Amino acid sequence: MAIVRSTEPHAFITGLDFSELPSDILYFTAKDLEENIIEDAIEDQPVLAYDKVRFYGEPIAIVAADSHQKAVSFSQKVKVKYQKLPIVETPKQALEPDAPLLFEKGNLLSEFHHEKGNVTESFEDCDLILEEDFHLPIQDHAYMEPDAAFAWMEGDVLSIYTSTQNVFHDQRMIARALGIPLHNVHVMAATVGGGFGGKDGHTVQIFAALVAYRTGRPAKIVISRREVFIGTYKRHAVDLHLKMGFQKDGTFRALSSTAYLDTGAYAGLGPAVMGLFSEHLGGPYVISNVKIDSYLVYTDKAPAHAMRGFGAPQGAFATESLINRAANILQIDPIEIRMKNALTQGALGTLGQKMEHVVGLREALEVVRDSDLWKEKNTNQDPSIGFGIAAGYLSCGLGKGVPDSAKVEIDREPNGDFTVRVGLVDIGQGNATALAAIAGEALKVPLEKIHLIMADTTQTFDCGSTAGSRSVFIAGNAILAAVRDYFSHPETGRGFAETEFPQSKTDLNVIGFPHAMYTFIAQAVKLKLDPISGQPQLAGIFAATEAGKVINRLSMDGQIQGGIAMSIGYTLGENMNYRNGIPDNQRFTVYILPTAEDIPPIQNVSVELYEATGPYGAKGAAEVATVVIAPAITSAIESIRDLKINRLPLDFEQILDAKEKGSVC
Amino acid sequence: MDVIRPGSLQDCLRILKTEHTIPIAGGTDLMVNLALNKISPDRIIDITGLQELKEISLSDNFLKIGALVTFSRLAGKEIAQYPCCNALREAAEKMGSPQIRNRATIGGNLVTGSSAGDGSVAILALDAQVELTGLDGIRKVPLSLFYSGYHQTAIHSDELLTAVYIPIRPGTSSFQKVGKRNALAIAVASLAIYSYIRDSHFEQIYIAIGSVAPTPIRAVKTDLFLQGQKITSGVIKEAARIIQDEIAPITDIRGTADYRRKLIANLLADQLQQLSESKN
Ligand SMILES: Cc1cc2nc3c(=O)[nH]c(=O)nc-3n(C[C@H](O)[C@H](O)[C@H](O)COP(=O)(O)OP(=O)(O)OC[C@H]3O[C@@H](n4cnc5c(N)ncnc54)[C@H](O)[C@@H]3O)c2cc1C
Repeated sequence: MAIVRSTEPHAFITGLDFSELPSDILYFTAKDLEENIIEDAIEDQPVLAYDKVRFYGEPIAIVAADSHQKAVSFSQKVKVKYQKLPIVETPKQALEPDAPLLFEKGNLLSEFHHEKGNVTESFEDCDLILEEDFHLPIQDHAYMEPDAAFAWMEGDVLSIYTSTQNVFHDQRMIARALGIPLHNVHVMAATVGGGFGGKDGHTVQIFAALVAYRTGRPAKIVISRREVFIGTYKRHAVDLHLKMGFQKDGTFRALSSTAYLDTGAYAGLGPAVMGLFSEHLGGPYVISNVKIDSYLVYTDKAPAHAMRGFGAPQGAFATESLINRAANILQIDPIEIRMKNALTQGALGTLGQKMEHVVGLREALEVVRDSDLWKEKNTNQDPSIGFGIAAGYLSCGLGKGVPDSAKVEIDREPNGDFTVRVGLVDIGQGNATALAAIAGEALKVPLEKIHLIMADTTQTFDCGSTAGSRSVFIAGNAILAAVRDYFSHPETGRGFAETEFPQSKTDLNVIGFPHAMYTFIAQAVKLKLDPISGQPQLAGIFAATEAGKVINRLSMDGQIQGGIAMSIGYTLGENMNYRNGIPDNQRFTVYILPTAEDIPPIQNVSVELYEATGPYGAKGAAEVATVVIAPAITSAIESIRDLKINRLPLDFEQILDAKEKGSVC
Repeated sequence: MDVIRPGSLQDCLRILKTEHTIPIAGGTDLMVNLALNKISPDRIIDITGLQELKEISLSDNFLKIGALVTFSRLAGKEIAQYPCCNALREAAEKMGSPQIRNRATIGGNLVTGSSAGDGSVAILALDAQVELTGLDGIRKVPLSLFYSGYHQTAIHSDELLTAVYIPIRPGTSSFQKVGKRNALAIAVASLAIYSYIRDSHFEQIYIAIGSVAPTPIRAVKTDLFLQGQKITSGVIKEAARIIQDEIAPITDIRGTADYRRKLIANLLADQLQQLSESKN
């Protein structure tokens, strides 16, 4: 199979010409779908564009042949006629009165406004006010496995293996687009080669399903890396203006922000991302006076969607940067200033939401303060070496008002082993290992006796998505409840339970946030700035994480190291960089991911507080490590050179050039 | 497309005479170009079976490096024993990644003719010659005359590059590059120096630079200025100024022209500084 994709970023489709395709080459368009919509929170994205394209790389038609090569070469023979439209390149441009429109309803998809305390007055009382414009780029998930699916028919039943984060969503999506009953769609997750949020929606499932369903023949699709770059979900670019007011003693007194999130051509999970952006913007601190204005805007780019960290890294970059600069100006130790303002259990977060669960930020900061890496800061004599720190948090669970539950069944087999059915996908992070361990512990049997069946719409129950740092928590709790059920009537050989994720008691009349529970981090970096190139060479990272009690140390450290590596890329070089609606970087040759040689030794220490509502005390840990390494790195650079880094990825030339004091990069 | 694996150099050269036929060594450039549809040969000749192109030997004060010698080998002991060839070893160490270094050959690097070729830039500073072999015979071309334009060289389509000859001389050489990351990085700028210092003065100095012109180039004006000089901070400054004037880099996706100028100046200053320190 191959996809005919738009070569225009914004245009009306005025004609589709398949006349050069021989009869054994099949093609499919929007007309072949029962309902041309990707089922999601906001339904604005067609499976296949039919009247209009809104981004370069948007799928328009599917070509199927008896070999991939044939399909690809004939897909290039399909002629699409366009009537070009002016393009919308940035959120600010999108909101101008005479901007071209992606949708008739306008380019503003959603907005969020929140005020707490009295921001105007409290700024007047501040001893120090810092404000800057920040820019964060579009990041690709760069999962190793390109989006792929394999579908076939058995009687009336369409079966499909996909690379996905949520088989039950896929099932609904496929059934609806093809107009077939839900029970005739059987979705299974293949072993997934990474998702990071990018496979928590439609990738290629409906395409493979469509071809198998219409032809009755097995259909396989694997897209190319270039297609992954131009055609799949991304992290939101953000432009924000942030103002923070401090007292001499380091108290964070006021914060106000105006932010524009670039959601690309379709909503995806954009509204939820804007929610978590706004929720996490102020960082894990008590700030009494807060004003947040966030806008989610359509532009002619690939849709932005979920990506590990889900809006938090963008805001944290701005806030943590200003906090580090304030600490420097006020001559307060950057750890002390955070200690002073840190959230504690019971305290109120940026949106007024209560910290209802265990909070270990101070403990994490203490661990960093005592680390060898941080102590070296005081003895270092080399002026080209710098140290930086940042702290952050990330919510666990899907957030206020979103159904967030898991159903698990346990069956005792004749040989005394147990089968545990969990509808979640193991996306590579190792939740299968953690869940098997939880089941084994609770059932008091060794791990070998636990057999997990996961992510299969026929053999497991809907547990929602592997997303929101929720899977070990929610499925772990469901397993524990199912084990209790089993022990209450062991003679049946079966245990079943459904559990819910705790929800915040704060209601802001929005869906998806705030959250009841958060995971906390403090991370420090040591780096050397190369005087030849202006490039930082990372020398070491020390991470402290409070994610409740750790179930599996090895996979916990893997999550933290992987999250940090991902955001090192975000800091040092990753950038889709759209120009005239076309991304510059469509290959790994030019989309600069860090290599093993760019990632320094990373030490993670978990502060193991016990979360009473979690399975064996655990919270979520999958995403949090992406949130703050960027501002820790830029702060270390700012400690070496007197400049302000307000945008990512780093511009090495500007860093090299920064000779004037306080120049802005 | 056919792939042929000839048993001898003669066979290979005969087949090369046919149209639309190109040799493949490590394939690390060629396969990329095939995948991008930049080339579409009818025939590919796999030359990796030609043992005589894998030798490294010394005779008459020339180090002969066979075209099929891989970067992994260039980074190893065989080159390390010649201080004047340090630049090549350092370039090989920094080139690509272990997987690429295990396949990529010096011959492929030279014939590809990329201005960012790490091996090419290093060897250019070593005053080397390439050996081009055709059915009609062998010709030797100084590397400084080998490159003729963007990805163009003096090799004819029916010739193989069989070896590189590097004069073994007193003195040392060094190579540095700046990429956008620490591995698998195409040079944004690179610089190699061969020099021989006698009585604190440059008796001989050759500077080669990469990624600032359509081909790797020699910084001849800077060489001339440094010839006979003693390394002082004033001389380093002046050399850095001259080399920036001497080049006309372009702005592309990896860096601006300005940045490249500064990188070259900084790389030169740093290597001269290191030379002055090692001399003391
Ligand atoms: C991921 C990756 C990273 C890379 N990183 C670097 C890097 O850091 N630095 C760098 O300099 N390069 C890099 N390269 C480019 C490439 O690896 C080098 O240029 C390498 O030396 C090419 O050698 P090869 O043997 O693979 O050549 P091939 O790909 O086999 O051939 C290249 C060209 O030379 C011709 N050719 C090869 N051998 C001969 C011969 N003996 N006589 C005549 N013609 C010949 C071929 O026909 C072809 O046109 C990288 C490539 C990749 C894919």
